[in-house]
Amino acid sequence: MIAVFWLFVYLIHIAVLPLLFIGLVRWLKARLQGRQGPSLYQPFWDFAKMLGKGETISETATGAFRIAPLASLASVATVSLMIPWAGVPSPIAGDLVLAVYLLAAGKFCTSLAALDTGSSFGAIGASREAAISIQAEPALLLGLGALAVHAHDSRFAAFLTPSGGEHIVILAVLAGAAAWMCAMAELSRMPIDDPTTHLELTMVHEAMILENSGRNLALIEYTVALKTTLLLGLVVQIVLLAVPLRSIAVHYIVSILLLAATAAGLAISETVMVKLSWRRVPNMLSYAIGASALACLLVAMRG
Amino acid sequence: MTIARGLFENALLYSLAICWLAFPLSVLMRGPKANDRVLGGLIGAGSVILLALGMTALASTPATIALPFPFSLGDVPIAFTLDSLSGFFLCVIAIIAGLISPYLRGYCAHLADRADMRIFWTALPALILSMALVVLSANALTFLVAWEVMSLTSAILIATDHEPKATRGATLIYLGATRIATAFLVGGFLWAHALTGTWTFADWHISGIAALGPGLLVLVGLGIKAGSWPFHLWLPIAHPAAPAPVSALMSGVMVKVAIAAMVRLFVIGPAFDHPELGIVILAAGAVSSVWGVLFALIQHDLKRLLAYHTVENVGLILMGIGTCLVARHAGLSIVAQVALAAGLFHVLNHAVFKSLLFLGAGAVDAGAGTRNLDLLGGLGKRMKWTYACFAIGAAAICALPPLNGFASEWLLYQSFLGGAVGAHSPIQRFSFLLLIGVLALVGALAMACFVKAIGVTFLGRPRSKAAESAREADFGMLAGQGALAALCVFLGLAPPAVLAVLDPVTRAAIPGAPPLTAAWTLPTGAMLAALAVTAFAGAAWTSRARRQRPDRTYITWECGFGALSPRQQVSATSFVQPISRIFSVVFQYAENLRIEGESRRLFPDRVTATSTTEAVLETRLYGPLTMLFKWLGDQVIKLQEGNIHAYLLTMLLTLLILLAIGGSIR
Repeated sequence: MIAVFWLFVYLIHIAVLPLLFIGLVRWLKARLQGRQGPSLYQPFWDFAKMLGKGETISETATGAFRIAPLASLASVATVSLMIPWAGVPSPIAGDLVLAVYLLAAGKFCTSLAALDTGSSFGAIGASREAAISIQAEPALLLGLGALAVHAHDSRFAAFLTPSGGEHIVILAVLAGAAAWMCAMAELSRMPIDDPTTHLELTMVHEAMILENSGRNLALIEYTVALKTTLLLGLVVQIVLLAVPLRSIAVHYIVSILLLAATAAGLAISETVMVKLSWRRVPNMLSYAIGASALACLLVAMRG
Repeated sequence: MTIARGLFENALLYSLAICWLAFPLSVLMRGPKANDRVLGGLIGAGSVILLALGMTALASTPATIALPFPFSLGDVPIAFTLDSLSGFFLCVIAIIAGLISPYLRGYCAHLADRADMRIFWTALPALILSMALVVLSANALTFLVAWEVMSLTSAILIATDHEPKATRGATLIYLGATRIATAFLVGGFLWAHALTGTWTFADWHISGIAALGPGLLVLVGLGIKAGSWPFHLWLPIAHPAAPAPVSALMSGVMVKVAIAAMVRLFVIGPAFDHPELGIVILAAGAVSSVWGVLFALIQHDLKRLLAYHTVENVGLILMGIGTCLVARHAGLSIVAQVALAAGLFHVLNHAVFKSLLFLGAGAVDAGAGTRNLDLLGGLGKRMKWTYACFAIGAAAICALPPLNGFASEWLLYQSFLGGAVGAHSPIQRFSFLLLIGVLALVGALAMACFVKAIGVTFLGRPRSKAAESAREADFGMLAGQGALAALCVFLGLAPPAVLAVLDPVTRAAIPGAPPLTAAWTLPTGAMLAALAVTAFAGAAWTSRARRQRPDRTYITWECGFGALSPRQQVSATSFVQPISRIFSVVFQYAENLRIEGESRRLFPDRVTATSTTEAVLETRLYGPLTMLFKWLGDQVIKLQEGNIHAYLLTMLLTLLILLAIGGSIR
């Protein structure tokens, strides 16, 4: 009974939370910028509207263009089902390598779709996505790997359960910081990229989906929202390792609040910060690798 | 045992018969089409026999078979070992050779007017058979004979299409590399023989500091053949020059033959046992993997790009073997077991997807007449099935789940994590953790490289007339690729089955280890179910909606400036430009932007931008070395100017030196 309840919580997470999160970020951002802004639920209405619309497809495109949004959604949704949420057991007992590589599989498909139309915008986006990945993926895997070695188990269920131990606070902060920077890069958020603009010079994600429309675009927008809550949820889980909370209910509520705090963080950073020059993105990501490497060093020295 | 032996001898005879039959047949039946079909079928049949032999060896107890008296090399018999290791590698050889056989006829048709295919058809079965014999050989002399036949037949095959100057150069470079490799191997084997007094591999048990000398010599010899860093330089030149099926055999299988020998001599037995050897193999593997993929990124030739990826994947396999040795010395038997399984599993996986990719590149070459990435594009619409198979192979080599490359890389990650948990010193633990980062970097770079390769070859619009008029490959060629692609999917879905096959091999290396199948802890079924359900739900929804509102086909958005030219698309160089910039030290990446004109800022007359990359490590590091060898070669040639006095003097001096060495050993 309890298992069914938590499975239900899970499905709610995957179905509702992502779009709500995006709505919250936009709403907060509008308030911070002194605008009234759209309603909190606007992403839902947008999603429903786009699903009903027809699609325009380039004559150059092959099958990859149609399949990619589905494949990408499948990969992100599967990874979402692997990560235990605040002590709630996950339906699939995945591990960190599988999660990172499944996300990479989604990126592989979307990159091919971006190249499929022969548009230079899509190609530049895909090329930048690939360049970001070569730093973000090692940083993420190193940070999570340090946590896994700390817990002696590479499955999320094992190493995202607060177990205490020496230096767990430092470890959680270092790995959490690395995961946060990777999340910003992977999600094309500030300071790597501005999600609100089209046709800007640093664009990564927005350039890749320039040719998509209608149902195809709806699936992509949803996948991005899901990936946002997935990666930021992971950051929240890592940070919460530092503060072991006993009951699942308290843990759950705290992590939802923290997730809302990350939404506020996104809104603030997108209001007050300027975008990094594209040439300086590697510098920022090398901080992520550095933080992860420090976490690894800590684990290696301790064991 | 007796059944295995009987089967073995029969199978060997049949394969031999097929090989020798192929030669007169190819000479007699000069009509090219019928000829090719029969010979391709013969190679397929030979592979089935080889597969049966490999399976027998995997299932039965280890046995050594020495041929009777006249078949011997001096007083050493020609002897073969039939055990789980040779059985596994025989299966790999047989699977790839068998799946390549339907491809041969269609591909050879495009070579027929340029090359003498009779030589091709003679050398190909000999290459397959000699690879099998190398894997089987039980003593050093049998090994060397088979090894030489393998090297020479593959050199002949590279030279099949010898009209272009580049191919002739590649053949010579390849021959040089094989000579050096054999020299190192002979040195190592002689040393080991001097220490043990026997040629039989199974009787070599050299440990301690004495193992370091012969061990390193043998390691270098095998490393050259495997294309490991720092001896990889010949590989990206030689492998692409061969006809595509031969490239597939060389990259997919022949480099693995060296790996088989490495596992036999350094892991099982082990003939050479020293803690440092494992670290050497692991370090060489780590550098190879990064180096290979980095240089693959900047290639413009599709087959050359694939050849650099062979260097990368051999690096991954070596990392598995090295980790196994290091972990075994540290007493971590489960880590050692998983690492060895990862290495061997990757041997099979790489054989499958690299052969598939080379066959795909060959189909592109045959269909569009070029494999220069800057002239391709848009082949996805013209060669649908080749495109689909190539995409599956690319996803597999990038280790994307649920395909086979992921399974072996996951095991490698598991062994690193296990090493990081269990190793005794902080430095070792930290090194294992850093190797996780190396593996992730290699994975991400490989993905960038293959997104580029597919994007520039198959997607977008054609960049040349040749690409515009590309034709899809014929049924046989597609059948070969399709079967390999299906194997990529199957091996990815059933890792426990492969691990069950590998279990006896790892047991031979690490006695007392638990069953290997327990190493696979991923919930593959649940993951596939989740993937399938979400993808199907999405597909069902969109196809229903598509019926209500059909798609509209329109041009790619050109910002309202009028038709786009295909040259405005991303090129192979520009796609990897951001990565080139990150690794600018390695690539010597330089940009030069020049703006000319009266008011340069607002109304420039001329804007020129050039970017250059130079593989500085390859040119600066190896350039002088190659020049040195060339100079030495020129000096040696002076001995061979036909002056009989010089010959006599050389012989006399050699005899004296040998006598002196022999006397000092006594």
